[in-house]
Amino acid sequence: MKQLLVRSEHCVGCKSCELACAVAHSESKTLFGAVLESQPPRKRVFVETDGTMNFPLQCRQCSDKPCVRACIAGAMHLDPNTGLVQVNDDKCVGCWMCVMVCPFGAITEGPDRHVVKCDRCRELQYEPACVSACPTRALQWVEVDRFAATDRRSWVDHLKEANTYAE
Amino acid sequence: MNYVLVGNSAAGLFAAESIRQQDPRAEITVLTADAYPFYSRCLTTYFLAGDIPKVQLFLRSPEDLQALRLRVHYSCTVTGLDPVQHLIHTIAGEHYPYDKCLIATGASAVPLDIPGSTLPEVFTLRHLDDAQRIKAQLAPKRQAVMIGGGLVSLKSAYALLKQGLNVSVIVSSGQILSQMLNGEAANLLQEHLVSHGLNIILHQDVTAIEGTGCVQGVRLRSGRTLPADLVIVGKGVRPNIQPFLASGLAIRQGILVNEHLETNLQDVYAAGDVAEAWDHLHQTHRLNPIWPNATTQGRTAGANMSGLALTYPGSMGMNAVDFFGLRIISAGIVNPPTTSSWHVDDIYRRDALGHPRYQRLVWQGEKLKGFVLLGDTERAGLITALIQSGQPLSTDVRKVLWSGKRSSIRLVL
Ligand SMILES: Cc1cc2nc3c(=O)[nH]c(=O)nc-3n(C[C@H](O)[C@H](O)[C@H](O)COP(=O)(O)OP(=O)(O)OC[C@H]3O[C@@H](n4cnc5c(N)ncnc54)[C@H](O)[C@@H]3O)c2cc1C
Repeated sequence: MKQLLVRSEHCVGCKSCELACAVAHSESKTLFGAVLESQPPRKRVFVETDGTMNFPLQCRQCSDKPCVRACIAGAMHLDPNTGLVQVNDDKCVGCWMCVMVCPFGAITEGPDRHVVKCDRCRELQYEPACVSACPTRALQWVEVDRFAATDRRSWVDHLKEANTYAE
Repeated sequence: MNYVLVGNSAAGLFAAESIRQQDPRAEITVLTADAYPFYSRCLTTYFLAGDIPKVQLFLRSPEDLQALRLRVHYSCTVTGLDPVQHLIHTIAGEHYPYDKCLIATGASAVPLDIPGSTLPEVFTLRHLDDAQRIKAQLAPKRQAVMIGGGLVSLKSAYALLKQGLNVSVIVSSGQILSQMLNGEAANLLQEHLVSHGLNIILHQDVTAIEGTGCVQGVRLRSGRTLPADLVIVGKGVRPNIQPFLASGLAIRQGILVNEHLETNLQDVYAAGDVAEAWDHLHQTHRLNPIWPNATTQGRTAGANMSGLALTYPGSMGMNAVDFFGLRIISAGIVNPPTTSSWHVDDIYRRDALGHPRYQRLVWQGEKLKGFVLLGDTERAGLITALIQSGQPLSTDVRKVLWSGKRSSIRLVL
């Protein structure tokens, strides 16, 4: 299974991933088309920067999935085919329970007051646009055997490094 | 292994899913008083509001449920548990043997015991049946009175307002949502709800429901009478412990469970609204009847019943609401004790459109113990996680939180 590998130490804060993400989640899938759409497409990756440090952040596919357990509508769910946590937009009622528990703050508001989060570019056959757009390979899409070591590290460590799978 | 789960809601179903994951060969029997498949009672007010169709209450598809291979007995009311014989008794006189048993009977709405409370248009909202009976009463311009200012009451009021009824909420205390909000935040929400047509009456009690044959009004302690066509009582919930009072289970308000969700009886577990589990903020066992706690406890109990040894990290109260576009999320302790180790940071402003933005952070020393966000609730989970981490926080983190720039927290951790 492929996983998103985040090497925040390589991130230069250029935000190319944010733009690529928004375009990938537009109707037209092109930058030119996206800016003209009535519902502006929403990005699901967020680069935080304070001048010295840069962090790209998106859904980290936590192993204990608090968002799935908090969802009162059955919208946030584990896709049995991919093992990924996804949002079923038809079911989301916009209650914000998942936003309340997402330890990464990676779930945000989409159209119709529903939630959106990184779906690993489901519509692009799981070839994440942020990875293709990243000029420094701070974001990589790699084959991993297991969710190695993720459980041994605290959430604070995760947040600090913004780096789930890499060692 | 033969598992018997009593209850088919959040705790029961998440337990079943986790048992099935661990033990593909398990025999899983589910006994439920409900006549329906697993559904979300949290969504009943969305159904009342007309926001979602009834079918959307059922969170799992028939295929999902089939794949779990549960033996579900509907309309099956459990009346007792015999820990020596390892048997569950039902009202129909059946006896179900178990190797491991989970009690996930949830809670019931507290009924109102005043004159007139048995009139046909007096409701509580806990079950899908309740919602359907209420829905049959909804028509624009009818007068509805909600008794109680809690979450279920306000969500119901919101639904009825959306359906065009005239709605009043009668609250005994001096504020709405007193479990979830501090006074200031409650006042801001109240102002917002009133601007959308809700009539809120604080410091008042209903002494009788009036009408012959049908509801015509409610009598207040002040002597005043409000016209009413229907009444919804939202006076909180209490755990469904009655069937187990003679079983030898250790029960306070709810069934006491340890960090593995085990009760004092061998092979008997409890989870969800019926359970009194460890509350890591109040540092005591406590009822915390919310959906995420029920699912988490169910999942943990199920895993442990089928051989794992997961530790439940403890509950905390939290909730998220959205009324007419005003979002509020709160978690943990929002009204701190007045002792000197506790303090609060409150920020309040209006945005360019005049909408309120309010944030309260509750601190005990350097540890974050609770928050209220009103208006801007983005990335609330970062703060929830800071509470759950239980760690003292640096001045930098506290500054970032105070500035409201939550997304920058990770830069200073
Ligand atoms: C209108 C409404 C809105 C809500 N909104 C929210 C919200 O926004 N966020 C939130 O976190 N929570 C909310 N809640 C609370 C949430 O629904 C509960 O915390 C959750 O349902 C608890 O799940 P549970 O499995 O413990 O018990 P319950 O959902 O109470 O289910 C109990 C199960 O046990 C069965 N049962 C009970 N007694 C017996 C018996 N004697 N024999 C056999 N079976 C029995 C019942 O049939 C049922 O299947 C809301 C509740 C209501 C009513």
